[in-house]
Amino acid sequence: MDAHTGGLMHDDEAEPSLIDVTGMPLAELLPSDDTVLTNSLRRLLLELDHPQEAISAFSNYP
Amino acid sequence: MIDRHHLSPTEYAALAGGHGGAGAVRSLGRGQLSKHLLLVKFIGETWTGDPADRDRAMNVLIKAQAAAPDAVGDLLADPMVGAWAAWTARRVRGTIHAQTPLWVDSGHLAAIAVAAAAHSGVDADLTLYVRDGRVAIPGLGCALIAEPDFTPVRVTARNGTVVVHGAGGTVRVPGNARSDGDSWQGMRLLTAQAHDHSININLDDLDPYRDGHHAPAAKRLSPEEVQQWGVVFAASWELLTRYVPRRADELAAGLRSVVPLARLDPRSARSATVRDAFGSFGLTLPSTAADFAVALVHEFQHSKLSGILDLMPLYDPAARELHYAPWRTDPRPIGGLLQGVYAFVGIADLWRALRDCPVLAQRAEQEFASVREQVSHALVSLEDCDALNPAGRRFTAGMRAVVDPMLAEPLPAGVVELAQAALTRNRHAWHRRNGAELRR
Repeated sequence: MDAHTGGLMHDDEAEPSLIDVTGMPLAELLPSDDTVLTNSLRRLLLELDHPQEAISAFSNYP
Repeated sequence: MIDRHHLSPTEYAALAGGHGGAGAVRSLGRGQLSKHLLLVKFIGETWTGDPADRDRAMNVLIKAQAAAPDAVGDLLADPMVGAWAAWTARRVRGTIHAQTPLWVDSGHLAAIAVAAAAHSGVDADLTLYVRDGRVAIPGLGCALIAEPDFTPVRVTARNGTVVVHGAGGTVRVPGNARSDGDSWQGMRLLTAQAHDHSININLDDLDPYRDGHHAPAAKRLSPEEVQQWGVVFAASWELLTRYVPRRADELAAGLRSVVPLARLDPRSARSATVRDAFGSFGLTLPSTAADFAVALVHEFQHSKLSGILDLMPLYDPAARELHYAPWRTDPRPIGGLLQGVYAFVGIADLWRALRDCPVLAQRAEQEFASVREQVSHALVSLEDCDALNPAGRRFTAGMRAVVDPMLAEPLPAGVVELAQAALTRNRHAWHRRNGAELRR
């Protein structure tokens, strides 16, 4: 995975993708009120609000 | 400055073509770790239980991460942590409801912290809750505690040794937590090795957040059942590593667990993926190695696409159009259609390769002919969708780039005719059933 500028991000992609907090210690992440972090969490929660179902629910009847 | 997760053009193109490789799968896994970490933060901020319980659990996690960052990262990236985090976040948001008190779901954070303490060697003294006579510690197993649901239980970790202090006695987690012990059920492991490829995944019949499929999760498997799972899994791994080694590499890089599902109908075989649990899927015990191999490829395609969708949208989720999908009797929204096409691109690739397997050649030829027809037809529907965004259009173009060569592969005319006739019959039956909602 590329860093901020090296990866796939075209002008026609309106929504920025998930922020990378894998390198941020929990001791910093948990109390952080960084705006970018807050906005990414908000988008993530809105995505979770969409109804979810098992994706494939595949059944075979031989 | 906080970076964002992005797939490189090479990774994106490879994933769109139905593969991606182990590196791209690991990239998707790192995206899941970020997602889980953000949700842990949210759950901590919206805590409804005793704040002291939250603070103790978070402090253990912080210390464990500092002591063993890789091990704790692996733990927090686990699909069952994702399933718990998404479930609990939805409960906090009020989009789902359950009889279990919310503070019990939020309180599962302490169970994750105990697992982190066990992996890192840091000390912990936390409160967990009984469910169904068990106190679960993610990835390790369950202590059997004969107390009512939601009873608080003290759990300690000292130098990596975990002890569950029930009112009726203590349960010491064995040094090898995967083995069963006195009042302890360890997390079973499925392992396989073939052709220089190895894989180790959990056979998860314990985690309280392993449900959510279209069939209930199976109860604790007997030792004989575990052996059956192991035999069929190892045989499927032999097939995958011999005939589709790149897919085997992807699975070894990203698949973390399978969840046995209860067999509700003796004639049916079921499998399903839950979007929140990247790297895990549920299934009934497959009867053959080929069936297990198909399920592994099929369901892991869903995990990969779900991981991609967590990094970037490919379509408008508010789109209301419904579509025909050859493998379903119900009309599918664009998200379902996309998932289906992507899964069956992988299945077509598998059956194509299995034509070289002497004992499967005849079946594989017919399956390949059928699945490539289905995928091609559904892909046309997808290509016509207005709801695809530019990234989604590039993704479908990537699938088209591998499906067209599949269609061009010569097969006996009779086999092709059978496949095309079956698709036509299926489509007509679907029209009769869902005509009013048919789009094309």
